[in-house]
Amino acid sequence: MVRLLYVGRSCVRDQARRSGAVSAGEQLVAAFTAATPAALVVREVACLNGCPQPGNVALRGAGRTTVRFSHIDQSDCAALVEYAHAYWQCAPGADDRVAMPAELRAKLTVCTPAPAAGADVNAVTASARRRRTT
Amino acid sequence: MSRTLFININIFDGTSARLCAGEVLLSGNRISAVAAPGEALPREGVDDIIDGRGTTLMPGLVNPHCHFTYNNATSLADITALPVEENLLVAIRNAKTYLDYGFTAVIGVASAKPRLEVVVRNAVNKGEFPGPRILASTPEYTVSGGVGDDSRLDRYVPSIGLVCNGSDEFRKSIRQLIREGVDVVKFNNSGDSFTFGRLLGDVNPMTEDEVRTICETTLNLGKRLAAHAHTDSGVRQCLRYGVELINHATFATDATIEALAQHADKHYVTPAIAARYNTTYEASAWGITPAIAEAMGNQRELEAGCANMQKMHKAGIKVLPFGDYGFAWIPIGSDCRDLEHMVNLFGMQPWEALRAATAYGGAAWTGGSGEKLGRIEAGYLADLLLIDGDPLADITLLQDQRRIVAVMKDGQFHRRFSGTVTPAAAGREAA
Repeated sequence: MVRLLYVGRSCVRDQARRSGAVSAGEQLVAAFTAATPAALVVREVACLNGCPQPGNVALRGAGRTTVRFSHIDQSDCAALVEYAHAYWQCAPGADDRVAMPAELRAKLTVCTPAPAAGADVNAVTASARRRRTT
Repeated sequence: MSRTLFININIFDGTSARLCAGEVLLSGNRISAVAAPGEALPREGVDDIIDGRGTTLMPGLVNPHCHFTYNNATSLADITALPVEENLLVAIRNAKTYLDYGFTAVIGVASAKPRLEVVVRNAVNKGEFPGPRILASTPEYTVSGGVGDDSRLDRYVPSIGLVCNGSDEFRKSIRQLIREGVDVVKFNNSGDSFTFGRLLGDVNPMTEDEVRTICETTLNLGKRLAAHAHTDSGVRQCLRYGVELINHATFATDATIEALAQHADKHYVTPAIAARYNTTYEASAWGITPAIAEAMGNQRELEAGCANMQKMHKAGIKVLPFGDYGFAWIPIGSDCRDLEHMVNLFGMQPWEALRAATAYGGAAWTGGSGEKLGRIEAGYLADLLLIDGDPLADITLLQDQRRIVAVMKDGQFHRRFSGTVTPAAAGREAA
């Protein structure tokens, strides 16, 4: 299993840039790549969907809680890498119990539980119809 | 005819559960030979030898539910408001972005303006701008009050959809758009949570006559069909009237899924699940909190969509990734997150998600034309990617543009392999 740390590269997405200039997102990717030990892999992705709050880093995986932090800068690297280690050391499903430093908790913008097994579509539809008619 | 040989590679051929060491020879824009492990292809007459240094050679990605004319705005109305001149620049930029991220073919399903996709397709085909192979779509056809109709009685508000009512209006407009050069006619025979409660996803606003006319007119002129079909009745109409590309299929019942499975060779389902997942859980920065997403009906679409795609996948129906990227919280360039969604939400194995993204996508793109796309096999078009790493072991690799170290479309490099790979890839033995 690959232990990933996702970093968004396009921040700030709509900001004009001179050719060859390095964006804030790319600087963040470089900072995390330098700060991350071999046990973790920095996955550089186009976007983590937090554009109004640029500087986005996420942890997610099959059966795991998805967490995303925003307004992250280079000073957060050490705390985030340490948290990521603890996150990946937990069994899937228990990762929401990992202690989160206060400075990271203040920057937490997404916390999505692992998806449950799919509900039965006919029951979902019937339930929605009932909701609309009551 | 130039000949290119890839050596020292591991091959994902589009359909297999494992990588296989080998070599691949191209003649012009087609694959002419694939060597099995331990075999070598002849070097004589080869113009270009690419040493893959242990990277993975795979077919290019195909997006079968593409909105490359959308500008990552927060609503359909905001896309509509973009003047056509700016919108053209957005579409050209997006076409390049898709190719940069390994998408060598896309199927447009809802152009933001009537001729935008046609114009960009033609320019890309002439080599004026970089971009994937494009099937160009109409704007989405809708009825008054349907998805894509933003008009108001009290003042003029333009709509992204082409609003028609009654068979005659649909027939005339579709003939006009086909005259202008579209490949695909898209229509909305379902509502959607994105209407914010005005027309929910389990309501079909089109009459049977309207849908029949849309489909007959399109197929009579040799063009292809895509339908925004969340509803069970909408999916049934797709089955009845020959709609190949079924977008969403969220509320198809078990009986309809069974009927669809009996015609699994004729239809492709593109759930566009990121539009549900990301809207429910990752759009708070734009004001759509999970509670609001639930009130919109989005979360219900997510749950029903996930349940249905699991069933469809098990039933042998071709469920394809990608779709609906082009909004603020599902921006173009992040499309390969869908592969993760297919594994985590639909229970697919990584190789099954990649098969859907390549072999199935290629078959969807070529339709009944007889052309071959989406596999690494002799005779197939040379749309290829070199990946630094093993995407079957880590499905997230394709989200990282740095790891897509070469992109080839139609036998021509868009990005040529520089020879630089991560130490892990270089250490892998190939052939």
